[in-house]
Amino acid sequence: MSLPLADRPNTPSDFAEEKIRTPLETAVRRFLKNRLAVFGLVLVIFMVVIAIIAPAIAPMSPYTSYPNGTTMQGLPLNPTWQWHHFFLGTDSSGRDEISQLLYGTTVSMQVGFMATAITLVIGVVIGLVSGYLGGMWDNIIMRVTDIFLAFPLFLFVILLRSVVTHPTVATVYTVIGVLGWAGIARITRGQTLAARKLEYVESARAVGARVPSILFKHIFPNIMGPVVVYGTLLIANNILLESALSFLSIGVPDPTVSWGKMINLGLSWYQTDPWLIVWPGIAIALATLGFNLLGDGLSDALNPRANQ
Amino acid sequence: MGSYLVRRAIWTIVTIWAILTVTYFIAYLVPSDPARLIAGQHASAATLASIRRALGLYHPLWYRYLVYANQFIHGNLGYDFIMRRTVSGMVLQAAPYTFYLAVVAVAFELLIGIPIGIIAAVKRYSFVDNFLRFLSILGISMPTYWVGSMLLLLVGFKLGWLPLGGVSAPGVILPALSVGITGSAFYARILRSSTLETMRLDYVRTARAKGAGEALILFRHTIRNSLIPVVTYLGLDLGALLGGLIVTETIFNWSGLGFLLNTALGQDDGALIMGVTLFSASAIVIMNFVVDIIYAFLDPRVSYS
Repeated sequence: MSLPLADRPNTPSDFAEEKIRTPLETAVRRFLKNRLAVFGLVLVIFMVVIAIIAPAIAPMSPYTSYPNGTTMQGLPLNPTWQWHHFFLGTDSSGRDEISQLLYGTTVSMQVGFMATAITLVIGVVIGLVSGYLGGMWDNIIMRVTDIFLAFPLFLFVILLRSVVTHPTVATVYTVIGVLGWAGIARITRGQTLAARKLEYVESARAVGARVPSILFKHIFPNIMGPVVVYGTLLIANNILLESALSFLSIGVPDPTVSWGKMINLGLSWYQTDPWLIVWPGIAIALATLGFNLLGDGLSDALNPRANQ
Repeated sequence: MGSYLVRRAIWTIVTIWAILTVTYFIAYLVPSDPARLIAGQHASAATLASIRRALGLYHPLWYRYLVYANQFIHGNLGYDFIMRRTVSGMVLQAAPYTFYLAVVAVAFELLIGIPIGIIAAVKRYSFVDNFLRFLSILGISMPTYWVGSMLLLLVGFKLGWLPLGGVSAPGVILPALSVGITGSAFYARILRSSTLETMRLDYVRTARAKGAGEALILFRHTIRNSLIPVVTYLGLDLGALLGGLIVTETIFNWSGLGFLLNTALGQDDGALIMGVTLFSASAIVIMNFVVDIIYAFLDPRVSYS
């Protein structure tokens, strides 16, 4: 007679199965069980795909002011629900709303990812170096970090962005990216201080590994988790920041389409054409929500105790 | 305690000095010519030169920086040749409005965030908790200015309950609520986790063992202590709060610092952009200092080393 599966003693194969589950696999399993996190991942993938294929699927040009894009009185058109004919209506200049929304995804994702990449590279390097060197240098670097953290980021970004006379999309993500390094630098530094004392790092040093190799090959993989979580949440933040700058007319330059700019323009027409501020707002909220849910889920998956 | 106070004060001054320096040199990058602004497009070269000399523009950069720093110490942020008013005058006129809005906004943040955080903690790991968590994440995912626009559209325009903009007592509600809705999420999450932590402490168990009712335990023993991190966050959050206020004031024509900054941005007014930035950043650093000091008085466990 065979025992029911659950009552069997641990067979070598069961044992092996337990054994081969790496921390990464455990994290993936935990992540996939979290429905909100998976929903976030789906949203993020959806947004990234739209951002890439926007030019191919946009039914009309987002830059063209169509002569038949406004009413006889020069007012925006209501949604027609016909894909190739002003599906979601037009703005006050007769430009197609849905095409602008699709192109806006590209700018949003571009700024979100690039600014975050810049921030992470600068912040992680500074944090690693500060934490590894310790002593006086660590002190100096951390004091500078404190000053950066004390300066309200949004004001700093506005100030630096306002002095650029010929901005491009790259200006916007560079300014956001370069100024945002202090937060992740402090996190990385704390993690590095802890990781520096781990035995395998000490043994790497003992066998004469060079400092960059110790930092990036041995310490960095150990602190990847917090960096990934922070980075994901930062993308969401940077998307919001870009849209806020564009809303204040100091974001991406014309004729580049941006969701924030669309809301700014639509705000002059909200009493007659409320949709002009509804659509882009939903787009921003969905994009940001995706990254926030994803980051939240990753944080739970990589550090299960964090949220109990 | 005394030495802690002194060290925090010195550090605050160093930070403000760093902000002043960075702001000055960033703003210096703007190619603007005050002499041209004063004399107009058709002024002769000689007129322009004499105005520049009068303004001290021929002095080297470091000298002008020191002059500006000296003025700043005396509360003078310079003269704005576009608006034809002193920057300090405009900033000081706008600041109380922003402060007023900020206080109401924080009140809304707490009013929305605290109950959500407590409910989530009490109903932990349930459907309600998950739903509130989703709501919180949705809250921080919406741009403040968009929430403001929607409130303007729905509550102000469609329902007609509140004014569409301008400074008035009922007019403060919508902009403050916009900031409150998006900002409350952080408080809810902090309070949830700190309440969960407090619930596990021994003295709470003792209270339960003595037979105290759950409601009494929650309101008398747990929440009081779990509110401490909320106070800390209140101090840390001032920068983000200001960011929200800047965009919201623009929507509701609330004539505070954000509105002023937006006006300055619209006309490329470097002196005013710099003045508002410098004033707001310094104000935040000083308020952080004040919060730290209050906190140190309230919580004797704060380490002074």
